[in-house]
Amino acid sequence: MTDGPLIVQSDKTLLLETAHEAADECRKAIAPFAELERAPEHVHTYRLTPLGLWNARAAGHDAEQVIDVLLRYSRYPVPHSLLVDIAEILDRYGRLRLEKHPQHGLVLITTDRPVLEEVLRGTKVKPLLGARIDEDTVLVHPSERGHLKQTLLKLGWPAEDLAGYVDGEAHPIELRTDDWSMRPYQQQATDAFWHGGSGVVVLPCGAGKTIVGAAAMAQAAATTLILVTNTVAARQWKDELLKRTSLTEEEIGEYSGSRKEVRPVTIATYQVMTTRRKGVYAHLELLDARDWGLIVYDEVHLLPAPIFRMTADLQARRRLGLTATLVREDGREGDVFSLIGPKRYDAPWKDIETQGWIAPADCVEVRVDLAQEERFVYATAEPEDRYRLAASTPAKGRLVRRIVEHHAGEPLLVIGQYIDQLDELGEQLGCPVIKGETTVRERQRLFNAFRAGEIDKLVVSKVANFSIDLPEASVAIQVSGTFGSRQEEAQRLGRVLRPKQDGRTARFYSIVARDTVDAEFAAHRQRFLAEQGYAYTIIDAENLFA
Amino acid sequence: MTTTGWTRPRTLAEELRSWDDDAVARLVRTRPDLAFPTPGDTGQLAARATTHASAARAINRLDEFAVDLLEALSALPEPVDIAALSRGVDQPAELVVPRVNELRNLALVWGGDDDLRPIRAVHELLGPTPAGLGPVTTRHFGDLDRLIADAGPDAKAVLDKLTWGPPTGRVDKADRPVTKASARTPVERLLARGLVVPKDAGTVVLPRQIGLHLRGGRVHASTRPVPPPLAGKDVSASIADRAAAGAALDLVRHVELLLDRLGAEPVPVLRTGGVGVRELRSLATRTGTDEPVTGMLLEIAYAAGLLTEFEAGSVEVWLPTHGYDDWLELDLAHRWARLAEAWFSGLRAIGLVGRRDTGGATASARERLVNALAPDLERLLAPEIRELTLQALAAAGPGVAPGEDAVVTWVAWHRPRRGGQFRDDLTRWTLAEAALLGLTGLGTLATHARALADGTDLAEAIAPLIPVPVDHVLLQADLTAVAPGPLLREVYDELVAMADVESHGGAGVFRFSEASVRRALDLGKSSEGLHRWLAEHSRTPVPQPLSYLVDDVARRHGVLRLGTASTYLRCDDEATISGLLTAGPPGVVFRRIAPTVLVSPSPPDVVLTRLRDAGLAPLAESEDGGVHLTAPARRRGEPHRRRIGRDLGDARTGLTDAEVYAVVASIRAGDRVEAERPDEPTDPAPAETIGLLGMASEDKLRTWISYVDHNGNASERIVAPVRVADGWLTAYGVDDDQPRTYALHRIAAARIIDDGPSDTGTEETTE
Repeated sequence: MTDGPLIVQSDKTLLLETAHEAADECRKAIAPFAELERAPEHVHTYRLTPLGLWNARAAGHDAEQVIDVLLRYSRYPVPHSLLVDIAEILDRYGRLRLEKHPQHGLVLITTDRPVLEEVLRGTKVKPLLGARIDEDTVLVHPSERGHLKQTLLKLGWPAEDLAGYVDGEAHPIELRTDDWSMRPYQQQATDAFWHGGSGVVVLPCGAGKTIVGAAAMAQAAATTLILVTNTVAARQWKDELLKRTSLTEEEIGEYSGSRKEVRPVTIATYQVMTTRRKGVYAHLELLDARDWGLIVYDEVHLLPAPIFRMTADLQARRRLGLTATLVREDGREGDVFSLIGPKRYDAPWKDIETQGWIAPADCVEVRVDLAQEERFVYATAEPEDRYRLAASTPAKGRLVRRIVEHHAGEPLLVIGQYIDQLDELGEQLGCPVIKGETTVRERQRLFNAFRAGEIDKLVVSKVANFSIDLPEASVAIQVSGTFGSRQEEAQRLGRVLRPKQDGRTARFYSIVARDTVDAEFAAHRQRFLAEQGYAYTIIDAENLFA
Repeated sequence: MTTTGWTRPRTLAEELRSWDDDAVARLVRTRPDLAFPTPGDTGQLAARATTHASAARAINRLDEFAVDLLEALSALPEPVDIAALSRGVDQPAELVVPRVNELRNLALVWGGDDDLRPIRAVHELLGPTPAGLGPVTTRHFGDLDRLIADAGPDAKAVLDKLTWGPPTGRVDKADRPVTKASARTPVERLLARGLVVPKDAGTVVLPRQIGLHLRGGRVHASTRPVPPPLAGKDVSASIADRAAAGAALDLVRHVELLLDRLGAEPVPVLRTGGVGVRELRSLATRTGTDEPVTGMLLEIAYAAGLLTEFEAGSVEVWLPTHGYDDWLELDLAHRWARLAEAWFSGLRAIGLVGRRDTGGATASARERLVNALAPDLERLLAPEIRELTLQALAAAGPGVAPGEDAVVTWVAWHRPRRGGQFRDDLTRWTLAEAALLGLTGLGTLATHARALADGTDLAEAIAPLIPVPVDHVLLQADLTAVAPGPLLREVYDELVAMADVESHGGAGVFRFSEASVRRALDLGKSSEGLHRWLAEHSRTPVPQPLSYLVDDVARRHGVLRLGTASTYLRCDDEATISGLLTAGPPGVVFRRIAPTVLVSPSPPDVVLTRLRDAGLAPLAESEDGGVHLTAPARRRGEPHRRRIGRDLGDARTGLTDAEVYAVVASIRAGDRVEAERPDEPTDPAPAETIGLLGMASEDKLRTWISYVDHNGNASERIVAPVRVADGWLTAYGVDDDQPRTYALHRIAAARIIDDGPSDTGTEETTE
């Protein structure tokens, strides 16, 4: 027995004891092929999945290397059946390859004829392929490159795409690094992406994905289409690009609900791309509007499902995906893999934290009691009303005021779901409220004011969660929120995860009504945050600041 | 083996008498069936050794080359010397002589190097066409080459087809009369020269002599004097050992999960025996394995005595035995060793589970898929093939993983006469089971598995690879507890009472939730107790959210209480209640559950009467009763005597040295007694009678026998014996058309009265 830091479980999870002296070394060694599932303070859990293993194969790791790493660091004997399983999964990648044949164009080639035969028998694959050139090679319709990769992945025989890219229309773009420089991990991410051709870069919120996008654009020096989640994000990308690159206002266009500018660099929203008029996608022509050299997908984990289909047609162009997590609620990670590309870079976020790029945060859950009468109303209410009753109890408002008083002067956000509650809080605290009906321009004005320190409190509703850049909030208070989806939590904390100039720890309060469904949802949130490694405490309201 | 200055033994019994004690001991040890019951003297030993059944047992354990040698001895014309035998098997004498000596030591062959004789049973068991050669004819041939050339090249072509077997060919009117002159077709030319003989109207057969001549004195086209090679992949022995140990740990863990599950929710025994497919599937999902593996686990647990059928009222269920609880007390290495040893020597062919039993007793049994733990899966061949398979893996050498087909071929070479396809299946199943058990890793035999062959302690052999159990966990803020290794059983039991198992393996991951903490409180634990246990058993500080959770659940737990009572008493005046508690009526037990409420287990009418007797006047109310709380089920059963379907009286037994030499001593004593007996030719010992009858039947000599029927009346008759086998003599009476059978033990005496073969007409080839 090696007495190593890693324990390999028979359900394909890996447990890494962080206190072990070899833990760091081991983490780097397993990162290429293991997905970090959760990272509470003592034992991090990784998982081995086919997709994770195929991502490793795409990066050049083979079965022998993976098994060697596992055995080297494993504390206990690893069951033979698991090793056989891993080797089998790894070996499935690359038995089929997409290549550019000098005479025939796009072809599917195999190193293992029986696999090709098996795949050709499938009904889903046949319509995507053309004539059989020889026993090992089949012609592929160029427009089906993406679909083919998707289908082969689903069949369990992921294809390696070596068919190269078209360069697209050239357009000069340079990074302007007079007063700033790229952080090491951002450079590594860009290099890894460029080397791989197409793929996804995984960086935690606040680690500067936009800069990685800009650097990739500078590498490509070609027309670029950037797809983002919403208009606010689009504006922020534009601001960032203007600040970091040689691009000018005229070269960057916005293609959204309100504007339709097609320029060498065009930023479009997922919303507008998925808009349908009379059942047909109205803006598909944007994809063909220019000879795009690079397509950037922001927040890949939020990419709507129809976009995948549109993306399938863009396979000949370089594609960059940027995201904080590869995990999707709808399980379409396979589509990300086959249509955008394998993971090219995964930042060890703990490293980024310790290097000072991300602020550690303290999570505090404060429990308040419903008043006697409120409990009666709650108990007799319809199930669909219960959460609202619990979440909007006035007790929360009183507590919010106490917390705000305690953190007076620190930039602070209050986040909630129910507009009435938020309006009331805004009134009581004397600060602006940003909700769905707030215009984009007003939003930007308030955010800028907050950033500049002119205002130190903002009440925001759910809509403010997506893609906002608020570098200086150091306290966030959540009074209500939908159902503890992990993405939600990642987003919210992301707003608070920014390096503070004075190195102070950020603070995240979550106010929960005891003995109600609010507390049940809070349990999900607590679990997720703890899994991310955040210190988490639960306190009764009367004991807060005691 | 041969001693100088002695007269050539005329019978096997004489030869055995010339052996020293060690040689006889060796015979008894290698053919242990000869020891039961103990033979009275050497004659009895010889007689028994030459019976069909005993010889079959011995021959069935021979490897391919030994069988080839016996076939050659049976096929070649007597006398057979070493040179002819070596030519017969096409191998040099150096390879042949030691194997022949082995066959002599087994009393399957006797005689000198210049006159090797297989015992009669060998001819019978190998059949009339050993190695595809035809029957013996008594015709003498001169120069065979010239005769064959004389018949012409076409005829030679026909002979070539028959040379290597089978020796028969279809021909119309095979028995037509034909001479050299009248012969027209190649076959007729052969018939005319006697190079083929008619077997019946439609078949000709190549006589053995001709066949041997055509084969150039070889009996077999080719032979393999050594076991086939066990080539395979090279693997790292140390990694293989660790992979095997990983499988071993998984095995123990899965067996525990399975049996704990059965203890809580026993599974019914099927009407036809065993475990049903649906139950197996549900067990498989609960324990996180697939169905075939779960079937294997059940069988292994059963073999180790950890599982049994138990009658619970009107149903029969599968339950863990008390032996299971004892087994849990052992440390990991011993737990595994118990399972591995039970598997190794088990009689059941585990691989049949989930497949069709083509060797089943009835047609419907052969149709169905076999259920796990079904009855009648005992197969004598199973432990034998298991042992051989592991020997094959050992023979491949450390760090070599032989291919499955190579192992099958190797095992088949060692037991060519046993089992056929079933033997090959058993070999493959053994390889799969051995991997599951952790006796092999990465396809090669693990170092610790050699203890099974050596007889050394298996648990000690694997112990260095088994992790030391831990007694603590790491608690984390996401409400998980990680045990960084296999937990001590007591610690594990306490932990699962308050947390749910999330992940299995070398470590354990457990998750606390409101439900799991509530479960612990339901079992009667207090929140202080839980806090204390967590603090004591965690190597990390107890996370605040977990402490909070325990307190939060405890706060709400037990606020509402539930229980049963036969009778309740309530009174608004608390003083009355207190009074009843301290000085209530005799024979009634009260318990106070609230300031104004008492309950009693006694029935209402009893309580009413007693209270009235005491001078009180309670009013009866009518209401309804309540519910139970149960502790988790941990049911157990006692093992049955196992039902064994087939007759397993032949099971291999290992004799100790003491037993073997006791047999030898008994034989020697019997010999001495016999040597004293005066000559009485009319009253030979029964054993020699059998030998005599055998000789008579072979040479077709008429024999006088004295026969005792079941009433005890003796009669004499003259018969023409045909065959002696399995305790019966088959013979024709003087006027009989049909043969009769006579029980050998009723034949009191026998004497041969003829000197030449009986007149039975044309040559007959025995079928």
